[in-house]
Amino acid sequence: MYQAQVVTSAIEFAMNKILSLDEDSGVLLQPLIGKQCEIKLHELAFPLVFNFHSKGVAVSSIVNDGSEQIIAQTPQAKSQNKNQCAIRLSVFIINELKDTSNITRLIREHKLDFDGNLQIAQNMSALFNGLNIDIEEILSKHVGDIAAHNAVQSADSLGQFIKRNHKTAMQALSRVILDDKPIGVRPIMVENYIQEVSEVRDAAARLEARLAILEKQAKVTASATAGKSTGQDS
Amino acid sequence: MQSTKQTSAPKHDDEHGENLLDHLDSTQEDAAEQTHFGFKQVAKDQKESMVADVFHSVAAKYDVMNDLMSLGIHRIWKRYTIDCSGIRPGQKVLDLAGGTGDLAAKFSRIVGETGQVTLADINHSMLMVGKEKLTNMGIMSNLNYVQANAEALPFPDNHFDLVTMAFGLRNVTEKLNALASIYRVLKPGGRLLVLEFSKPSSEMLSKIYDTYSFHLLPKMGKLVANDSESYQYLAESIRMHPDQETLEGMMKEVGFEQTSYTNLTGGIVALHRGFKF
Repeated sequence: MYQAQVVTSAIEFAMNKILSLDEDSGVLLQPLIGKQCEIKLHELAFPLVFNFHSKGVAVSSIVNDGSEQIIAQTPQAKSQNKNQCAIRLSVFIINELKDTSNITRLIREHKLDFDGNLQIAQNMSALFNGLNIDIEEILSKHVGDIAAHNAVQSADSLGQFIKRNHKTAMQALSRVILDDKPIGVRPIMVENYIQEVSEVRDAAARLEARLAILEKQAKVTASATAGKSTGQDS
Repeated sequence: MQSTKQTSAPKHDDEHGENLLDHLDSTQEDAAEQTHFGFKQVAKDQKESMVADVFHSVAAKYDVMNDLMSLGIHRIWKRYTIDCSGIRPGQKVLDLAGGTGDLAAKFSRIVGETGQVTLADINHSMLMVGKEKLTNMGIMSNLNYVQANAEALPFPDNHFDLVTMAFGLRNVTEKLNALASIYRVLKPGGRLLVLEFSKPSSEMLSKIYDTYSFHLLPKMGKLVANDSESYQYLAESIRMHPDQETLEGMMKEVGFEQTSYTNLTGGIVALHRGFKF
């Protein structure tokens, strides 16, 4: 219920807060003013629409009520393309987009779809990559210079520690995957095993049926023999 | 939960304009007739000034009371309205009965410098509160303010891409006249969004809502805005407002097509949509 509205509201608040922390964000924002970028993440049920203005960004969504088709038919909808762009992608490839040489490959692999003015997306990327937020300066206003400096130093050390250990962990993981792959159970082995089990089960069923028939025949033979011997006796 | 219903209206034909004019003439002749003001019956020509008095009285505390009365949910309803607007940079929007400008502020950001937003309200006090608020937010260049009666909008034909009316239609004396006037100023392909209190879809919710609005709401009005009567009128006017189906029928009657409505918060509020083709 109102998931899209709550999410867009939170994103708008966070983005405007971040932009307000960099006094020079206005310069980066300038080429985006009046532009609209619609981002559809595969993992999210609704699109995010970013509308840039001189003070920041307004984030909204689009409620799919079938009216988009109606509006798409109007001439003014088509004439807005220079102020708009639409991107469809997975949240997992956002990191790959930092290297622009990946874009062609991602489009070819249908992991990224693009429509409209590419410049808007590039300016949007430049805005967030170009932000220079002096956290120490901001913190010092609230907790004092020394505490702010110590906090930022500690955060930096923690970040480096995580980065270093993350790298080591990833290396260990890839070694495990590469070294242990041959002895791990592969899907084809599982399939073969399942096939063999069902063959054995079928053979057992056939044997059971054959035994039942033989048992029945043996009973018939035994009763016939018993009948004959009784007749001879009388 | 939200629930949406959509039906197609009959095609707008050439005779429609004449029918509408006949209707407008007949309503003018009926000026001496009675209409409702909350649960009271008053002369039709008195309602406008009585509603104006209510909004003069509540204008200063309007935003605070909205947050308090709806527990902030009115912001979500308005965001939902914006998400249903399909508005794009460069388009023209009329925020009718726009009051303190919540919708106009958002639309101004979306349409950008190349677009235009008109904030219209019949009440001067509400318009001034809205103007001051939006000016303080730095919204000026693409926004203009017009004191206008929804029943006779002072705009050219086929002018706006979108008209919104949030929590305003129930205060209009002749709702059909207002809808016809909106239809006239909309461009072909344009849409009307009416966000308004409506009829709760569940009996249980209806009872809780009645208790809240007739007992708690006037007390909150007295406490915060020192005005219980205005909030008593608010509760009464909501009950007198047409339900979802009736309002949709009225929209069709003036010519809107592809009309639909979405119940928000169990039908306490409904968002009606209609297109002009």
